[in-house]
Amino acid sequence: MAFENLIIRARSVTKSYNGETVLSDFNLDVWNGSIVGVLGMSGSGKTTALRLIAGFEKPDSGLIEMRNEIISSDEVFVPPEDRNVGMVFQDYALFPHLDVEKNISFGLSKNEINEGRLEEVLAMCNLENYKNKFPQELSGGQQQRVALARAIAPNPEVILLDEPFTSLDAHMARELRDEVVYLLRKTETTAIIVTHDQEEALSVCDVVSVLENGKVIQSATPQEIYLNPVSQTVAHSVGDPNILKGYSVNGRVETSLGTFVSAYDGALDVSIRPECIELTLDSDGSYLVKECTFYGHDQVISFQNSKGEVFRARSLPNTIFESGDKVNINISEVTTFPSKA
Amino acid sequence: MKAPKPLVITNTFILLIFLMPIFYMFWRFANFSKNLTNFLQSWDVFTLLLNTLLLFIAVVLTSLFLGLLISILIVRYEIPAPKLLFTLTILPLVIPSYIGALTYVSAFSPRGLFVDIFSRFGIYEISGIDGFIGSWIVLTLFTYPYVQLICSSALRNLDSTVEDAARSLGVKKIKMYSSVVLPRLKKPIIYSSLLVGLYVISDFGAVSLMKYGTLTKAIYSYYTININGDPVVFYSTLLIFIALIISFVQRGSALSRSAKVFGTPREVVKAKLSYRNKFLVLVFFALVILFSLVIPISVLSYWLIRGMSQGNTVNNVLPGVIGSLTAATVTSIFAMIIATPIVVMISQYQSKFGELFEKVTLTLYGLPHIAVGISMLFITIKIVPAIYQTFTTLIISYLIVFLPQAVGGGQASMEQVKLSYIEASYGLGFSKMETFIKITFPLIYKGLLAGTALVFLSTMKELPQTLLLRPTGFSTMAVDIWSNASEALFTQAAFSAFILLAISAVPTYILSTRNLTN
Repeated sequence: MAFENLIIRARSVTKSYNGETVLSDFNLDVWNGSIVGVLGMSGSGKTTALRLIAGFEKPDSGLIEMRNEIISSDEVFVPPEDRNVGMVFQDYALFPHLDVEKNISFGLSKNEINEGRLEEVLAMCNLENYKNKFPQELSGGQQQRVALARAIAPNPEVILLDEPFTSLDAHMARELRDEVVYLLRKTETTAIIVTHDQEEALSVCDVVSVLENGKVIQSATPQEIYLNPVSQTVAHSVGDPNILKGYSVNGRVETSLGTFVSAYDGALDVSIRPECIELTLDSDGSYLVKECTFYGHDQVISFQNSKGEVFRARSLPNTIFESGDKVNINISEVTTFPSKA
Repeated sequence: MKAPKPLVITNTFILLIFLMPIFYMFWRFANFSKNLTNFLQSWDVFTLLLNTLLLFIAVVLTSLFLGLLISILIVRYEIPAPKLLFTLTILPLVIPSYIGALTYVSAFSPRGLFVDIFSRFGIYEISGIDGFIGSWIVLTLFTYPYVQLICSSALRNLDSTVEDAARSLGVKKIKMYSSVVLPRLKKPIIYSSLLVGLYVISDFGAVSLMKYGTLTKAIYSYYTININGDPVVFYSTLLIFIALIISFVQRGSALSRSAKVFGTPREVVKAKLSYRNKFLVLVFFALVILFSLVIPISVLSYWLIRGMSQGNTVNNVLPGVIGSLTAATVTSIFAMIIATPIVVMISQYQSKFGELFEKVTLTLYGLPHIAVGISMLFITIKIVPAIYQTFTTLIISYLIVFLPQAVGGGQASMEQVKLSYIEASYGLGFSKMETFIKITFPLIYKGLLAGTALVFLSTMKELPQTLLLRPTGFSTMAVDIWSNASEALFTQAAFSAFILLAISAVPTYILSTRNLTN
C-alpha cells in the first residue's frame, strides 16, 4: 500500500482527565477505503480516541495527521468543523427539533442540496419514506440509519462510528451491520468503528486494533488477531479461550490437558480456544461432562478432569452431550504466551 | 385504580372553596357588564393594559437575555469559579421585588447612598429612576435568576454530543448555538419566560414604589377610593384573565424529562476562552452581581447603620416580625394538612379526576395575589361578614395562592412512589391504610416538608393580600417595608427589610433552587 493512501495517522497520542490516564500511547493507521475496528473493553479509551480524531477534544500530546497534514499536535489544532470527518454517535445524537430531511441536509451546502445530494443519500440509506418524520418517531434502527446518512452526506474523508450497534437488539444489530458495511464498501468510504463486540470487529473490519489501558496492543487483520494473538488479553478479547498455566522445559510444556510444544521456555500460559477441543463420547473416557449449553448453531460443553478443573469445548450440535457423560478429548491447536505473573 | 370516595369528596370540597375567588370575581363581572362600554371608551383601560404589557415584554426579554447568557457561559465555557458565580447570580432570587425597588428608590433619594457618594465628587444633581425604566430594571434584576435556574439545568441535561455532531458537520460555534442549542431549549425558555411574565403582571410592590401605572397598581388605587367600585372588579377580572391565559400557555410547555442516554455518560468538555474574552465575561458577571446584589445590600446596610446611629431600635419593627412569623406558621401548617390528601389523590390514583385536580392547583399558582385579595374582600363583605378583616380570612387567602407550592413539593417526591410499589405492598397483604403509612408517607414526607417550608417563606414575604386583608392592628414585615418606603421612611423600611432577608434568604435559596431544577 502506498503511503499517500494513508487517511489517518495517529502517533503517541495521550489524553487524561483529572489526572486519570485514558490514552497513554495511542497509535493508529487508517488506509483509504478500509474499515478499521478499534476493539476494547468499556473504559479502555476507545471513545476518547474517536473524539480526539474528530476534534471534539484536544490530546495532551502526540500527533494526528489526516492525508499527511497535521490536524492535531502541540502547535496545531484544526477545529472539528474544518476536519471533514463524519461521526456516528453511540446515542445517534440526532437533532430532536429537526426532521429526518433537515437532519441529513444539516451539513450540506445549498449547492449540494440543489445538486440532489439529499435525495441521493436518502435513497442510499432507504430513508425516502421517513424524510418528514422526527427522530422521536423512528425506531432505533431507523435512527441509526439517519445518523449514518447525516454523517455520510457531506462526503467526509472518514466516518467514525462509536459503538454503532450496541443500543439495538441482537437481530436488528446484525441486519443493520450488514447494511452499513455494504454501504461503506459500495461508497468506498473509509471508516473507523469502535466496539467492544469481538464478533462485530472480526466480521466487519479489514484491520482490528485491540486497545487495552489506553494502548493499542495489537493491530492486524481479523484472522491474524484471532489465530495469533500477541497476548492473553488479545486472546481473551477475541475469543473465550481456556487458559492453562504451565512451565516449559526444552520447548515442551506439560498441562492438565496434555503436553504441547512451545516456542519459549519458562513459566507460560497455554491458550486453547473451545472450538479446538474435540470431544468424543467414550464410556472409558477420562473426562466428565458437567454441563452443556445449546446455542443452535453450536454448543458449549463444560467438562472436568479428575482433579476437578473445568474446561470448555465448543462443538457442532450433532452429538448430544449430557451431564455425567464420559468423554475423551482431542486438541487441534494451542497458543502459548509468556506468563504474566 | 379508583380513589376512595371520602378522599374525592374532601378534595373536591377544598378545591371548590379555593376556586371561589375566581368564580365570585367572574360573577361580579358578569353582573355589571352593561357598564362595560363606558369602560372600553375610556383611555385609561388601554393605557393600563399597554403599560402592563410593555413591562411584561421588556422584563421577559431582558431576563431571558441575562438568564440564558449566564447559563451558557457557566455550563458550556471554562470560566473561573463557576460554582461561586452561579450562586452569586442566582442569589438575587431571594430579594422580593418590593425590597429591590426600595433599595433603588431610596438610593437616589435626597439623603440616599448614591447622592451621598456622588456629592463627594461634586455631583449634586442626579436623577432617580422610577416609572417604566425603574420597574423594568428592578424586575429584571430580581427575575432573571428564574430563567437562569431553569435554563441552566435544562442545558446541563442537554446531550452535548448533538453539539459535537453539528460541529463535525461543519458548523461554526455561534451558528451551532442558534441552530441546535437554543431550539432544543425552546420549552424551558418558554416556561421560564412565562414564569417571569406571571411575576411581572402580578407584581404590586415594585411598580407601586416605582409609581408605574400597571393593572395591579390601578386596582389598589381604585380600591382605596371605593372598595366596591366597578373599576376594581373590572381590572381584577382583566388581571385574572390575563394570568389564566399565561399559565395555560405555560402549562403547555411544561418541562419533560430529557431523552435517555446510552453508554458511558460523558462530562461536557467546556470551551476555552481567550484571555480577552475571559476578562470581558468576568466584567459582565461583576456588573450583574453589582446591580442585583451588591447595590441592594449596600443600600440597605447604609440605611440600617444610619438608622441605628439615630437611635432606631428593633422594637419599632418587632410587631411586623411577629406578625409575619405567626401568619407564616399557621398558613404552612394548614397547607401541609390540606396538601397531603391532594398529593395522594393526584399521584397515587392516576385518574382523569386526578389530572383535573392537578390542573386546578397549578392554575391557583398563577393567580395575581392582589386580585385574589380583592375577591376575598368582596366575599367576606357580602357573603360572610363574620370573618371580614379577620386573621382567618387572611390565612385562607394565603392558602389559596400558596397551596400549589405545598402540593408541588409533595408531588415531586410522590413521583418516586411507583404504582408497582403500592401494588407490591397490596400483594404482600397490606391494606390501603397500612400501605400509605409504610410506603407512601415515608417517601413523600420530605417533599411535603420542603413544600411547606416554601409556603412559610412565601407567606412571610407576601405583600398585596396582606395589605388588603389584614385585621386592624396586624402587620407583617412586608407591609412595614412597603408602607414605610411609600412614605420615604427609608431607615424604618430598611430595618424590616434587613430582618426579612436575614430570616428568609438562605432557606429561600435552597428551596427555590431545589424546586425549579427538579
